[in-house]
Amino acid sequence: MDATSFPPGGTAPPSPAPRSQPPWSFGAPARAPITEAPLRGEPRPGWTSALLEVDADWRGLAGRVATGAALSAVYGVALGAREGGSALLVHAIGVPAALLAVCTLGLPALFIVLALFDAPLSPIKAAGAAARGCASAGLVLAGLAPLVALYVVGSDTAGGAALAGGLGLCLGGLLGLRHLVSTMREALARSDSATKLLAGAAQLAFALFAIVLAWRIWVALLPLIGGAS
Amino acid sequence: MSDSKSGSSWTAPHPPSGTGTNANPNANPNPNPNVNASPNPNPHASPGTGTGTHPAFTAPPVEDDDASHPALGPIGLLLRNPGEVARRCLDEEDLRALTLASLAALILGAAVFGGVVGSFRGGVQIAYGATKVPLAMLAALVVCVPAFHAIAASLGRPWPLRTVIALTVTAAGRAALVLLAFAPVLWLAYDLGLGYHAAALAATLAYVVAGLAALGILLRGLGGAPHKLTTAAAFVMVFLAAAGQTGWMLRPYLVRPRTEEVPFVRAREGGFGDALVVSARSALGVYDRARDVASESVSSERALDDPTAPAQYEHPYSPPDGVYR
Repeated sequence: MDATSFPPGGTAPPSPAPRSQPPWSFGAPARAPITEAPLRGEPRPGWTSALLEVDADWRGLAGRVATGAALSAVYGVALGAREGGSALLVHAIGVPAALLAVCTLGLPALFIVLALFDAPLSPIKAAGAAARGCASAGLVLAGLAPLVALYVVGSDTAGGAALAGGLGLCLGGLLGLRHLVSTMREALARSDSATKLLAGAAQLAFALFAIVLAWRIWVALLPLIGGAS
Repeated sequence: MSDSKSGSSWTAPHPPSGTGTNANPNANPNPNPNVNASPNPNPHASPGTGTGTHPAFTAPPVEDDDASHPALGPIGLLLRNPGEVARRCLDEEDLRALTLASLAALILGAAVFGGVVGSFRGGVQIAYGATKVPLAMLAALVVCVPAFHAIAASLGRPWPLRTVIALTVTAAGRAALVLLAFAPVLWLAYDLGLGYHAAALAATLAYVVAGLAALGILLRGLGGAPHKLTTAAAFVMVFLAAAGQTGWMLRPYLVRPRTEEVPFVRAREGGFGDALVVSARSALGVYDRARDVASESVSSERALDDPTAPAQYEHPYSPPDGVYR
């Protein structure tokens, strides 16, 4: 009787369960594909979520601007760590000064231009965008502060330190500006295409103005970048 | 066989000191009477022989239709399932075990890799390398995490700091495990006489592969929200800047075997950024260092001509201590 034949009158033996492991084998069983559970939902928002909110009353917006300025002062302290002493304070004042200047000088001008085009943007929305931009810039600058301090303190030349500090300022400023402009764009989403086009041009001009103004202030006030001489 | 569902909790019914093997009647439909009838002469028999009742050879689950996969420990998760690791980081689920295991993997992997790199010279440099590589990586992480937190929030992911720390540490732990895997290969290559520059290149390659492994967790953690690639690129840039500087501060790692004295860290010679600027200028044909050294050598021209001059004037372009970066 070969292995496949059954005894006369007998029944076929039960077929082995599928995917079963040979019982004498101690090797690893055949594994099902590795799976991952789906995300329960959106990750829990951190404190930065509230900081970057747009909707708030004037008091809340002022608080966010102040928080952003205070955070950016941390970056200033990192820049001042190269010289120490009073340079810490000078840089801690100089870095937020540019953010505040852009908000206080540039934003009213932008609002006036947008109002001329009859863009549907309320003052508090514009202020909310500015607060969000300022908070975002301050947050990024504060986050970069340890890294920049490492470079500024460790750099052998003043040029290298200025380069590292300048790069951080550019990154933080640009991300803040991006937040400001994108928030305004969201607020203008309901307007017609012509208004959007004109508002886009105005925002582009504002972005250019903000970059030049901020850089001018940083160069003037921050000894590390080349100012305050 | 008939009780295959219970395989996940199946254990040998007799203690390891038992005489027979595979004593579970359900586990073996075709018992070998020769095996079951006689005492097991070797309780530590290797698996697969059908005689193993040693705890190490406890039979694995025969079949498990319900569980999708046997439970992976944190290290297994890091290696096999970066998506699940990222999900746990975002959901803040079992973060303590995951981050502790990642931290342990980071320290172990980086230390072993650093020791292997130090073995290019050998001696005390092995201990130095095993100490400095984990230090450099940990310092880079400490510097990176606040930046990651801020950049992620600014680009639409306002996560708690805890989540960012977990994602960063687990990604670094995965990278360190890859470094750990590279370590024996690198050691063998060094032992077979790999040259200095090839050795540096091989170590760099290991770092690149480890970085890609780490990116696997970070990219999954960033999910499908907007600005995913921008955020990832920013993370990479920040990490490279931080690791470059912390690594630079703790040089040297790879030292030529002929070097007699090896310092734990080199004397301060500017920063990583300065070195990049010098290298970039050199690539453009402006050799600052050579010019400086040449000007020094011009002022000490007499010393060059003087056969009794100090050894540092023997060749103006060679590293004074034989230590290359």
